[in-house]
Amino acid sequence: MTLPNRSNLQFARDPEEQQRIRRIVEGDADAFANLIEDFHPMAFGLAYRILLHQEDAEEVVQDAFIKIHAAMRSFRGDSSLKTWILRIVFRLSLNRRRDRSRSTWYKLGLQHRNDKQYNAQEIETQIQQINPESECVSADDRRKILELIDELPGALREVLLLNSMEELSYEEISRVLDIPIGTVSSRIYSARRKLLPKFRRYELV
Amino acid sequence: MQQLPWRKKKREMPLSAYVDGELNNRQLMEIGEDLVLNPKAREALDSLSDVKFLVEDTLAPIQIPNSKEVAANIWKCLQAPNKTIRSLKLYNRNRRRNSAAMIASIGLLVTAGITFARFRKRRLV
Repeated sequence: MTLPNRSNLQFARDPEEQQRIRRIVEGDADAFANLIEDFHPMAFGLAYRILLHQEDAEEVVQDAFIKIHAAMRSFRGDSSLKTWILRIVFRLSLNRRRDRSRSTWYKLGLQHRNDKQYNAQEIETQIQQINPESECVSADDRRKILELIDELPGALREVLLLNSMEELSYEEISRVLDIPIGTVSSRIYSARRKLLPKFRRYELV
Repeated sequence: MQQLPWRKKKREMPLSAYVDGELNNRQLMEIGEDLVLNPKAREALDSLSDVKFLVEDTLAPIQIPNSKEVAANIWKCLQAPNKTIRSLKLYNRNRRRNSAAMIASIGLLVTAGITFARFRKRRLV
């Protein structure tokens, strides 16, 4: 059995990356546009996984890239550009999630009435429109799974969310969260073990 | 016979890492042996793999916005003076809240209008 090689990391000392950073700092619009195009899908994927809300995720990613542009000059290159960007998106998404959970609208449950992501019927229609042959999880199951993931302790949930992004290896997750790789592996295992009996109870697996 | 929790964790943690393709050659050899000889290990591997793929499918975004459009929008924001950026961001943030407030205000006006019309009909006003 061949396993995907996920450890081909390129760190910021990479001359190409350094040149790209230099061009952005010098005000090259094309270089920054390319950077956004390269990293936007991943950044959006991360923000969406934390916020589970299309518009919020879009806003957070936009804020993140504005901050990234401003902070580019101070990028030291201790990690790769990818993990640096993801770290910023991760922090901003967590802040937004915290602010949102404190908001009165959210507490009253009013915010989600207009939210397409929480409308089971609309999710199913959207999935069908995008991929009619998909055998994806049904909208009700999806909602249940999200609730169960939400019930996980914060540390386990965060690692699991990052792990659900195919593009991220354990090493990269450890860099984004600033924890050892062993802890990443242990938390992922614990999160899966905690979810398993719950998924079984609702006949999801 | 039931395994002690920490023994179970020690045995199953590499399986979880295996599902993610995170093991080195030596670890792969060890785990391969366990998978061949131990049906419980195979069962645990299947379960962990089911959870992984279910979580991945569930959390994946339904639609990713067009990166080119996003890039153009962000560049526009960056070109604007600081105050405009701040107000754009505030506008985005308060958009839903404002729309809810507007709906509430319209509702209040309509209710007041109907009440006034009824009072007028009864010649109370």
